[in-house]
Amino acid sequence: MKMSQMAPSNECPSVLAALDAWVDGELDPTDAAGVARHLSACRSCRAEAALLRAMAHSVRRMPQPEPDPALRARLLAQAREGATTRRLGIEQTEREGVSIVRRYETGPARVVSGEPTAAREPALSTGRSLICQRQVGADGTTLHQVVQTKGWREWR
Amino acid sequence: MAEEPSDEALMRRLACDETAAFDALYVRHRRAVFNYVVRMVGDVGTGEDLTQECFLRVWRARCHYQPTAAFRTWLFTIARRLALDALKRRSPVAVLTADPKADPPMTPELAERLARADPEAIFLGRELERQLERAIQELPQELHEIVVLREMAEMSYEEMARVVGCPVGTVKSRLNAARRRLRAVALEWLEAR
Repeated sequence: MKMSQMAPSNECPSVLAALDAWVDGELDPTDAAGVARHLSACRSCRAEAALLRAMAHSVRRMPQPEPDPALRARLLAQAREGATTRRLGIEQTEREGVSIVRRYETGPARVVSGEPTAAREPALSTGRSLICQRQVGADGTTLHQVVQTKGWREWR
Repeated sequence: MAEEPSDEALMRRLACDETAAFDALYVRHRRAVFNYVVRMVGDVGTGEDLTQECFLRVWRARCHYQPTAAFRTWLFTIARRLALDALKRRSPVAVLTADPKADPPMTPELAERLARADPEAIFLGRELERQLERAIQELPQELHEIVVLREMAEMSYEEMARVVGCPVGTVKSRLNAARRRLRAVALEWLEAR
């Protein structure tokens, strides 16, 4: 659809069909400019656009309540509990100011893709599965993290 | 000022059991998820239960999450599945399934008023907002959720298509059908004034 190529008298049906996307900012810039041009010259399409925008504005103004604040505390408590029970093996070492955290679960590691490397070998041979290895800088920021999902995945 | 970590970065921290990252995700998305499920199921109590379950599923999936889709899309997909399951467990309720009203024409006088008005100044009354809210609640579920995702969660067409699991074209046609029904309600109210 190229609004700019249409004669004004033929434009209304195409403009009306595109109004939803125009109001929602989903038209490409050329088509959006074509709709805007048409609206500036066509009173009835301008009225439809105004009605559509006003309706969207009204719906967005409707109250959006918050969940009970106690829900946050409940969720955090459940998460902490889950984290404790899952920490079957967690190792923390430090090297040159960088903290390295490794989290294991029982059961052998599965390497689905790629060849075992020196980094993977220990986990494969110990019967434990290295779930996550994370290096944390002195300021608490994550420097490097590897998470095992299906095979190994390098995150950053 | 430090930049806020992305959802995906927080999910990576979750994989190492960082509950603070989980809390940050909850604080960021709680309102949108809660409003979405409350509007889907129609009551606050169930909405809270579903919100809780939704975030617990995020927590449980922390080691398996792969950022192939945006976190928010994934989160709303979980919320939607939970809400639909809750609706299925209920006894059937009357849902407005009648064909949409034919698009009523706009009178020239109203067209003149609207064409001149600032859209944000048109609907100042709470009365019409209440009518629109009721009309949204009465929409068939597949139209209703699209309105909520678009107007309240402010999702793009692409995001909505991923959450709902349908083509973008279907999202567009559902949104258009929903808005035509709301338009009829709004026009009736405006014409009477």
